[in-house]
This record gives sequence, C-alpha cells and structure tokens, in this order.
Amino acid sequence: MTLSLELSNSLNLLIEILSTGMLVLALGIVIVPNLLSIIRLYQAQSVILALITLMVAMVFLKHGIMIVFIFIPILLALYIEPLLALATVKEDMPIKQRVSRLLPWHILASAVLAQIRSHAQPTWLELRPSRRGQVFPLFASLVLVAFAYFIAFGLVGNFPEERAILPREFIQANGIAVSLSLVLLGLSILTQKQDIISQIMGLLVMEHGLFLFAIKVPSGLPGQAFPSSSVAFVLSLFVYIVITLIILAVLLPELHSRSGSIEIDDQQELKG
Amino acid sequence: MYEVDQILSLVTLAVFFPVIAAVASLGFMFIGRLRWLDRITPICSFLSLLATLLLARLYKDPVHFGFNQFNLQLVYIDSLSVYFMLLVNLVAFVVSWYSVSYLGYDKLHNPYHRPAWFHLLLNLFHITMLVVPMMGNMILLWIAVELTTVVSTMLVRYRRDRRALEASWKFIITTTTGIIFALLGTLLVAYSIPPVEGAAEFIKLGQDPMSWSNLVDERVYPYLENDYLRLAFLFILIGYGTKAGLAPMHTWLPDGHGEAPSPVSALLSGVMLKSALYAILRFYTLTNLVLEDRAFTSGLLLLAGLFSLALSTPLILKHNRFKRVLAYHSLEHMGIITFGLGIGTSAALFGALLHALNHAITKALMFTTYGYAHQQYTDQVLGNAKKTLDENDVRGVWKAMPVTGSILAIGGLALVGSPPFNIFMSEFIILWAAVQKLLNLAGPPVSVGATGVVGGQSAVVGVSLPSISYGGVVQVFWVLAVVIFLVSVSLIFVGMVRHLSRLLLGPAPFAAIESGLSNIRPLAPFLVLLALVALFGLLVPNWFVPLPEILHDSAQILIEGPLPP
Repeated sequence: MTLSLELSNSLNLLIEILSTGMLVLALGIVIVPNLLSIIRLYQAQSVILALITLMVAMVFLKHGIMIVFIFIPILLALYIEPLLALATVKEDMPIKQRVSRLLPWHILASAVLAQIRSHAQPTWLELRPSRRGQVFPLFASLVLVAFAYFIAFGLVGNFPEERAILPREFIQANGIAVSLSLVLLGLSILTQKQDIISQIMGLLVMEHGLFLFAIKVPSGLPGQAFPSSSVAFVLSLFVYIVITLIILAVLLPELHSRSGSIEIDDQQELKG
Repeated sequence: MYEVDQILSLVTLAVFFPVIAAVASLGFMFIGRLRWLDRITPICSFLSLLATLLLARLYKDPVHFGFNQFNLQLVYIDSLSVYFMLLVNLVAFVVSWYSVSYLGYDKLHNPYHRPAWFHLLLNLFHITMLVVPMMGNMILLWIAVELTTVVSTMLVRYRRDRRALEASWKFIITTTTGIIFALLGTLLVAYSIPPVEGAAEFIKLGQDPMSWSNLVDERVYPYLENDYLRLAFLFILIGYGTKAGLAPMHTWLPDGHGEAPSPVSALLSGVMLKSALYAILRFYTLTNLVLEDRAFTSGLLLLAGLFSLALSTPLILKHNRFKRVLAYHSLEHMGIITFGLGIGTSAALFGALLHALNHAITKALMFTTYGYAHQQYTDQVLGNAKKTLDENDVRGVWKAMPVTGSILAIGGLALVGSPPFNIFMSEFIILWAAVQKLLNLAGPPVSVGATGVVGGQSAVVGVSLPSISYGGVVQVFWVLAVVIFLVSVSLIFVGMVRHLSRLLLGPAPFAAIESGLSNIRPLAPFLVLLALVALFGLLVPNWFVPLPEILHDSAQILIEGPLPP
C-alpha cells in the first residue's frame, strides 16, 4: 500500500514540526535547573521521537520493519527514571541485585521506581538546583542551533523562492539541522550541567539527534527488500544506548558510594 | 577460491582462539578452579598471533565475506587490515603473557581480585580490537570500536578503588561523546550517497552501500556529494580522534592509562588508539578520492597532529606520576602519526604506519615493565597489605632491580626517539618526508650575490636560496611545522630523561632483588618487546612475513584506494 502524494507531504510536514518540537524541548533541558524537570522533558522528547518514527515508517511503507524502532524511544521514556534512580542509590549494591531490579517482569516503570524508593532514597531528590544562571546557556544554545541550521542549509543547497508546499530540499535541510542541533545541544548539556545525571541526559539527547538522523537515512537501493543502512544505524544506536545505560547502572553507584557525591566538582581526585 | 577460503579460515582462526579463551574464562567464573586459566589466555593469544602471521604470509589480494540477503559486507581484508591485525595480536600476546605475573601480584594487593573476570574482559578486549580491522561495513566498524570502549571501561574500573572508578567514568563519558560524533560522520557518508536516479552504476552493484570497498569503487565515489563528505570527515576526525587520543579530546588519556592495571594500560595505549586510527584511515582514503584533492584532509590532520604534539610537550615536562607521563607520550606519538598522515606522501604514510607499530611495541614495553617494577616495589615495601604503593615512592629502580631498570632506561630512551631504536627510525622517515615536502614546494633556487673588494682583489660572494613562489604562506607553515616537530621532540627527550632519572636513580627502599638474568622468567615478555624495539630500529624485517611489502601496499591503499589485483 502506498500513500498518496498529499498525505505523504502532510506527514513530512508534520514530521518536521514535531522534530522542531524536539528541538524546543532540548532547549528547555538546557535551561531548566531542576533534575526531575530535565527528565520529564526528556521523556516528552522520547514520546515525540516515537511518533516521528511511526510517521517515517508510514511514509516509507515498504520498510515496515521501521515500526519496530518506535519501541526504542518508548522504552527509554518508560525506564529512564527508574534506571537513574537505581544508578544514584547511595549504596554499593551487588551488580546482580541492581540488574534484577530492571528485569522484564517489572513492566510498569512506576512499580520499579516504587520498589527502588522503598529501598533507598534516590539522590536527585536531594540535589539543589544548578548554581549557574540560565541566560548564558540559553544564548549559547541558540547560537549552536543557528550554527547547525547554517551548516544544514549550506549542505543541501539552493531552494526555490516560491513554494506552495514544503519542498523536499527544505524538509531534508530542516531534518539535518534539527538532528545536528540536538547533538550540539546534548553536548552543551553535558558540559554545562554540574551533576553526573545531567551528563547522562546530555548523552541521551545527543542520541536522540542521531536517532532522528538515522531513521531518515535514504533507505537503500531499488530491489533491496531490506533497508540495511537505516536498520544497521538504528541497531547500532540501540547497542550504544543499552551498553551505556548498563554501565551507568554498574559504574555510577560505585562511584557514588566511594566519593559520596554525584556532582562533577566532587570528582576531581585525578588531576594533572 | 582456494586462496580466499584459506584467508577466511585464518581470519576465523585468529578470532576463534581468543573467543575460546573468553568462553573458558566465563566458565571459570562459575567453576572456581583457576589453575589452568592463567595458561589458556596466553596460549590462545599466541595461537591467534600465529594465525595472523600465516595470514600475512599468504595474503595476496583483498578478500571479503558478507550476507548477500541482507546486503551486508561483514568482513573485508586487505593489506591495511592485515597490518593492523598483526599489530593487535603482537601486543595482545605479550600483554596476556605478562598478565599471568600481574594477576599473581593482584591477588595479594587488590581486595577486588577476580582473575576469571579479568581474563574474560582481557579476551573480550582482544576480540573487539581484532575485529575492528576486519569490518567491511562502516557501521559495523563503528559498533566494533564502540564495543572496545565498553570493554575497556570495565577494565579501567577493575581495581574498583575511588581513582579507578573516577577514571573509568571520565573515560566512558569522553569517549562516548566522541563516538557519537563518529556515528554522525558515518551517517553523513550515508546521506552523501546520491538519489538512485543519478547513479546508474551504483545501482548495478546492488550491494552493501556502506561497505568501504563499494564506497571507494571508481564507479561509485564520483557520485558521492563533496560537501557531505567534508563535514563527515570533520566529524569522523573529532569522533574517532577522541578515541585515538588526539588533542583537544585527549583528556581521558592520563586518567584511563594511569589508573588501569598495567597490562590494560599497555593495550589501551598500544592497540586501542590504533584501532580508532584505523577507522580514521578508512574515511581518509574515501574522502580524498571523493574530493579528488588531499588538501582538506591533509590540512585537518596536520593541524590535529601538530597541536597534539605541541600540547603534549609541557604536559610531559611537568612533574607527574610515571604512568600519566607515559599516557601523555601517547598524545605525542599519536600527534606524530597524524602529522605523518597529514603530509600525505607515500613515504610519510609509510612512516606513519610504521610508527603506529613501533609506538605500540615500545609503549607496551614501558607500561608492562613499569607495572612489573611497581608490583615488585609494592610486594617489598607493603608486604601483603591489600593496597598499592604510591607511584611517587617507586625510586632507585636501577639499584633495587638492575635488569628491570635497564629495560626501563632503554625503553624510555627508545620511546623519545633515541637512535638506534625503532621510534627513531619511523620518526626520521616522517621528518624526512616533511622536509621533502617543504623542498618540493620551493621553486628552482635563486642566486643572490654581492661583489666586493677583498685584499685588493674583487670577489663575488653568492648564495642560492629557494625562491618564494605561490604558497609562500604554505612554505612558512611547513617550516613552522618542521620546527615545532623538532623542538617538541627535543624537549620531550629532556622530559623523559628527567622522569627516568627520578624513577631509576637515588636510594632504593630495599636491597637489590635482581642479580643478572638468573630469574629471567618474569622478565621474558619485556625482553621479547625489547628485542623488537632494537630490531625495528635497524630494519623492517622481511622474515616469514613480508612486512615491508605489507606496509608499502597499505600506504598505497591510503593514497589510491583498493590496489588492482
């Protein structure tokens, strides 16, 4: 089944609007000082990304496998909070015990979270808001976004002056610009925030940018039944996310118990 | 077909043996009887090395293997792959050999001693690094490099004290950030593939669109879009350059190398950096072919290389713990290798590739030998205490351990480019290539003369100077580059002499525990590496494995792409 040109164009337009919405949420993550708010914004971003993935799969209907990809941002949205709660528990739990708390039968993330909270208070609830202001980070972030748009539109090339509908080149340029912006904003979050949790959120925002980029990769050659490139890219991102989050769950609690803190300023034993 | 089967079989064997060792290590985590485990890892590493040596001997033409139903090229082997596989397996074997003695010391002094876990991680690290140069698909290449990050993080964490945990955290954050940019660069290469309508020849290939061998095919690369490739290479250099330890993304180097167990530091510095370098090399060739010009990639590589070299100088000169100093030497040498790549001539590329191997051998020698000295000092000074001696307390090694001290002295001088050792040979080739480049940029000599009267007789005094033609700025840059190279290397030499003096001279905290070569067994891995350091200073051996030919072919691949059969 193929979509009509009008429906395909409308979906493309909606995809770009939602992508820009992800960008706005990323800007919110940059300026919001409270860690719980950052996580909520990230979860909203993940949901939008899942919607975008669904729409991209519908636009490129011959690659129905892509519908499976929507589960990656959905799972992240569901499990990021209990995972971070687990990671910031202030004691040195054995690895088996930590991993077992995330086993599949704890399907409801809230159930997992409640169980973890009954065991130990997650640290982020005790974290004070960032001491740094919001104006400079916002300004710097807007500069990064402008830079990303400059590069993306420079890459794609010339555009027609008049358009009744969104031309393909503008959509492509905007898509690249949003993806690049998310990567740069994630880097900004990673470097500007003061605690390790926010560093992880920065990495995950960067991952969202790459995910958005990967699902729109030109999907292969005619005659190829399998979109090997975009599938390979998304699978590699999935591997990256899983491994990074596992290491987070293993490494961060140990670091926390040794140093007594998850703030970056307190992790300065190694110098020179 | 028979030869292809031979090559693929040897490639499979090279990976198979460390996989066996990894599986055995996993089994021993549950069984508990570890007597044989210490033998399995080095034996499997040795067999893997043998398979790779045979592969290098028998290799003739590129070989690939994949899954056609998924349009996926899994494995691609050419001279460059073979060279890097040799590098990985050589260092991995010696390190696994040394790790036997390391774990004996670890049992006494590490409260978190878990030998089966260490062996498992070591073997997994070996496998992931060995797999990197085999990957045909650029996305799978990224996954392999990412897997080296993951395994190495767990190895840096191994001792589980505050410093090791902090180091592993910083290591994974920095390298993961970098690897994201590398994936972004790879994505941009995918985006550079044109719409199907404009690439009829590309359609006919109908194979893996992200395999290196297809991308550099002369029927394909002319269609790739230049601007996308430029941006892609920039991100690739930032991304894989972070893993390769190039400045300014090098900040994880001293923490990761300094806090990891010594065998792991040797692998990180000697091999893992080169795995990331391999990825950069593949994109380097592709970008040059697409742009039909080397200026873009050369410019970026020259800047990155010189910046890394220059930045490493003050970091090496300052007072620091010895393992952190060795880590900064990695920054120096990766800068030299990248500088050689930036020069871009056949000789420079030959020198850069040779330097990668020389640095791997010498750095492995230094980390393993120093690790051994440190563990002996800990044993002698702290007894059976479950802690490690501070590195600043390791002094007077020449008195306490004369043989080990001598190896450290020779290795340290070799590391900073003293003749007649291996690093000097490859550094000299790179420097010579840089000077040749500078001289080639100059036009024909111009005579400048003056007439004067001396002692009643007229005389003409003249001198020939290179003319300043187009690219005067470029010539000035090359002069500066050569000057920076020479000054940095000289100052780094001074820095190493100072650090070695502090380490080797002065009073020792205990009486000598070595006398001659009476107890050579624990020193055997270091002596093997030392022999290689000396050998490669005299020649690039052509025994059993045609290494000069492999190096030359690899350099040509970097310039032209796949060589004709």
